[in-house]
Amino acid sequence: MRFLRRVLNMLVVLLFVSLLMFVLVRVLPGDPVGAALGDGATKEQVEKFRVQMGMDKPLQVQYLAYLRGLLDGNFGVSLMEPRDVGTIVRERLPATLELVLCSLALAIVVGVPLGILAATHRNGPVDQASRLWSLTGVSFPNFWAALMLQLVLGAALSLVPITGRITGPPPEHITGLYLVDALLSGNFKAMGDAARHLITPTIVLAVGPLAQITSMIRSSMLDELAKPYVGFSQAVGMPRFLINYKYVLRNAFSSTLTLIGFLFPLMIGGAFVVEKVFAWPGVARFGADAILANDYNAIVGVTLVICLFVVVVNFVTEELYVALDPRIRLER
Amino acid sequence: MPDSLSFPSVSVQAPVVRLNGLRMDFHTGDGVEQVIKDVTLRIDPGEIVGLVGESGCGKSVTAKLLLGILPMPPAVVKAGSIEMFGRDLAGLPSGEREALKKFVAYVPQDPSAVLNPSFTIATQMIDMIVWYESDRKLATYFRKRHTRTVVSRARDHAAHLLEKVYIADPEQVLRRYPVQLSGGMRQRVLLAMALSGSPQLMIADEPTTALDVTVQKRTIDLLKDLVEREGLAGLYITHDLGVAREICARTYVMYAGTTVENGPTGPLLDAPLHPYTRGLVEAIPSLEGGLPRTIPGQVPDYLAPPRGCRFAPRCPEAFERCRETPERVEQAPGRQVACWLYGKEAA
Amino acid sequence: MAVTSIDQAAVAVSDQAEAAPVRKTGFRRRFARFARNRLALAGAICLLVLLVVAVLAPWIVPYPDDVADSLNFDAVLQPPSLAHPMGTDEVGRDVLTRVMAGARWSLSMAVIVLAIAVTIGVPLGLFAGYYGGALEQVLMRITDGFSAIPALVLALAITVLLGPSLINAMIAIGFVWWRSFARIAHGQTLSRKQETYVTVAKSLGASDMHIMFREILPNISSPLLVAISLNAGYAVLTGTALSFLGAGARPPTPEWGQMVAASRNYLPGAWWPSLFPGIAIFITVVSFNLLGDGLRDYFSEE
Repeated sequence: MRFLRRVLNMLVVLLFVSLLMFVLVRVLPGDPVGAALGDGATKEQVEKFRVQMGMDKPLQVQYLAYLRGLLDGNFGVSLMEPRDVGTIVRERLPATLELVLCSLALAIVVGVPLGILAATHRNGPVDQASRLWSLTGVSFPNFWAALMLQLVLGAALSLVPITGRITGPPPEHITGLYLVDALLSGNFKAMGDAARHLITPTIVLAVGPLAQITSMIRSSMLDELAKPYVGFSQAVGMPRFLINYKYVLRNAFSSTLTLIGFLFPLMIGGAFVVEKVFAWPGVARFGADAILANDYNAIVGVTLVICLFVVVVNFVTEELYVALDPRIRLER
Repeated sequence: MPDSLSFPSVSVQAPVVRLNGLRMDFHTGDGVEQVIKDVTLRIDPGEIVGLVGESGCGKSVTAKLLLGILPMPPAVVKAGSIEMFGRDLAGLPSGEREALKKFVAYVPQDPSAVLNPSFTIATQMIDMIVWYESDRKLATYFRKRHTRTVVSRARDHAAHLLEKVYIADPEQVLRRYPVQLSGGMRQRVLLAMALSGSPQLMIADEPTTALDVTVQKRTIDLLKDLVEREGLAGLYITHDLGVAREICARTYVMYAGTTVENGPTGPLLDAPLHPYTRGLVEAIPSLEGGLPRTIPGQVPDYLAPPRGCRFAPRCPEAFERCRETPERVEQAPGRQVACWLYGKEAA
Repeated sequence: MAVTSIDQAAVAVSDQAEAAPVRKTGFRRRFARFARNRLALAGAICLLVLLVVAVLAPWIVPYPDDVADSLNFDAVLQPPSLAHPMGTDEVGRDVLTRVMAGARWSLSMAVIVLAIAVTIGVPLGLFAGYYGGALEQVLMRITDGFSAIPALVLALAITVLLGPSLINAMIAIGFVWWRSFARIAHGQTLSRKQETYVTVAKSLGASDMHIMFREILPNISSPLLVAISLNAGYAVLTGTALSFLGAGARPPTPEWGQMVAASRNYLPGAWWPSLFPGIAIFITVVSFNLLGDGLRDYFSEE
């Protein structure tokens, strides 16, 4: 029942987003036809194009037609490359997912231990450093950080390629995630190639979330450490190690789960910039180009797909949160 | 349950606790708080000692100190000595200090807050029992915690401990999470947990304040019963003089970081010597009717406490002499008071 | 840990004097407590300096900022030197001058975005929290919908559709940013509306508007202030990113993100015109974050 209501909620949010974007792109003064046909188009050409795109009909008719199309998996035709937006998104999605997932993994793998260390050694050097880091890490303009890393790691030290996703031939297509595909097909040359390309964009995209995860783990652990059960466990002689890692971390980690749900849309937003700078062939770069080119169907389509992911990630993290916390689980 | 009493050895004859002229400061952001001024307190084996006083008098600080959970710093011992089980804590390495915790059972103020909400009672009790069995070695603990026989034995022991506190269906309780238990039940679980080491001393910090009145009485009876059955010494902290009279052989009265009076509980409450004790006794509503009198004023600001006797600003009988700190004098056998109204120099 | 202190106690001189420490009062005490957080103080000072630079830029910049005067094709892409501490850009303009002039754009970005976001978000949050029911459901679902679209994506789309310009970028970001304030105001209102002063005001017959804006709002101003300070940094980041992507400021406006975008074509040879505007953005955002973090600590202590 609760599950059903939440799924329904997700659908409502998605419907709202589709309506919002659909109306925004048509009501705001941007000119897709001009952008598509160029300045030299005649009046007849423009008119023909509008009829062809269905833009001569009233807004609500257009919207309903669009929704009906969506049910058939039809996102409409992109103006930049005359194909269905859904096809383009499907092709480009794995690249973005690979980048975002790698960044998220990096942020968690580094951020969680750092936050724990900071909280358990409060006011020590690690804590001071991590506090400073959590304030500065979220303050880097990512486009600039990307350029500077390209400059230092790529151009000056020649450690990593400057742009692109892979130099040699890509591995056999299985999931679309190069690292996974290379691993599955045993193509370690391609795997190394893809990994080298991934390093810099992953770091750039992970910097902010890493800082936020660190500070979230730190502060929720400090909150937990101040709770009476910790004092009690200490009073009965339980070892610090067990208290910190078995009791406190379990409680602190659940609140960090919700942070991941919150970080995901931020990282997708970051990917719009990072993919542009690194010429990454992902859906975010396509989305950025679509927006800059006034490509109506592409804008709505890309936004919808992104929102679908955001909503699903939020759903999953919240369900996990409930599963981890007996207080909530038992109240149901 | 194998008793790993191999280390450390504790003296059976020596007082379980002896605090002598203890003085402690707390360094806070606003300055130095002189919370503990002069605490002198003794607990002998097998006796329950009461510690009474208003909130904010340093009772809980004393309890935390004995439990080994007072963060130092900010707390700093400025003078005096702390002995537990005949060992001076000043020279004790931290490992041995930790090891002593096994002999101290703790019954905390709020039973609902001290149980970890994310784990079942079984997990929490088994963790504790296995840890006590592991000689304070994490490696041993982890090995044992994942050995089926050890865990099932620990579980049986936990059930046994729960039976000791008159829980009818231990298996049922073990499977529960703390939120699924009532307040009185949680307090009993805590009492059972308190017995899982090999306790010599039980420290109870106002264990009934968070409970319903009906449950209070039962918990106190249970506590008394347990202490007698297991032959424990006890420190019972309360602001309820009635409870103190019921279960404490001797009682210490504490005001603003000083133990101002102590003696056998009955005589102490029947014929209080120190004006503060008198004030506390008069503040109990009596059956004969009449409004209880309260002590005017409040506990001093520890950043700038009054010089000399700290009670003087609120004391109806204060005089010139009270600007100096009174010495503790023996008025009757086992009856001491720190007040200028008494002693050889008092006229 | 306990033991070391007791060890120290053995050698500690038993000092019987009970000196009364002096307690500061009122504003000085409050300021002293805020200033105890050195980082927060540093952030506040940095912002003050930025503000002074932004206001006085036309008079204190070392070189003319005006387009025609500033072009100098004899001094294109010169590395940092005494004459040009941050070097010159691709058309010979002094980078330091343009970085200083850019301060006003970034600060205006923060101010305008927050003004729009607070004006939309706070009342919506108050209404939703105070009235509850269907209104709350609708308003919070809309907030959810907005939150599901990454801020940068929505802001980018609106800016481009409005027509790429710095002022449109500010409007777009403000229009996207309200959801954070709606969330905070909503949550805070929910927890405050049960409190005694609200009940008292209601029983005295105060209007809903009065209760929301005169009773509840002042009481939730601390968390809002913290949120404003922390969000200011993100707003500046998003603004510069939009300009970098080509949707915000247009050349020759000396906007930091736009400067990085224009100079990136001269990397890796000429790194200075890209490096310094980025550092300026970083310092601005860090300052806002330090200030916000300090305010949060300060209010939570209260």
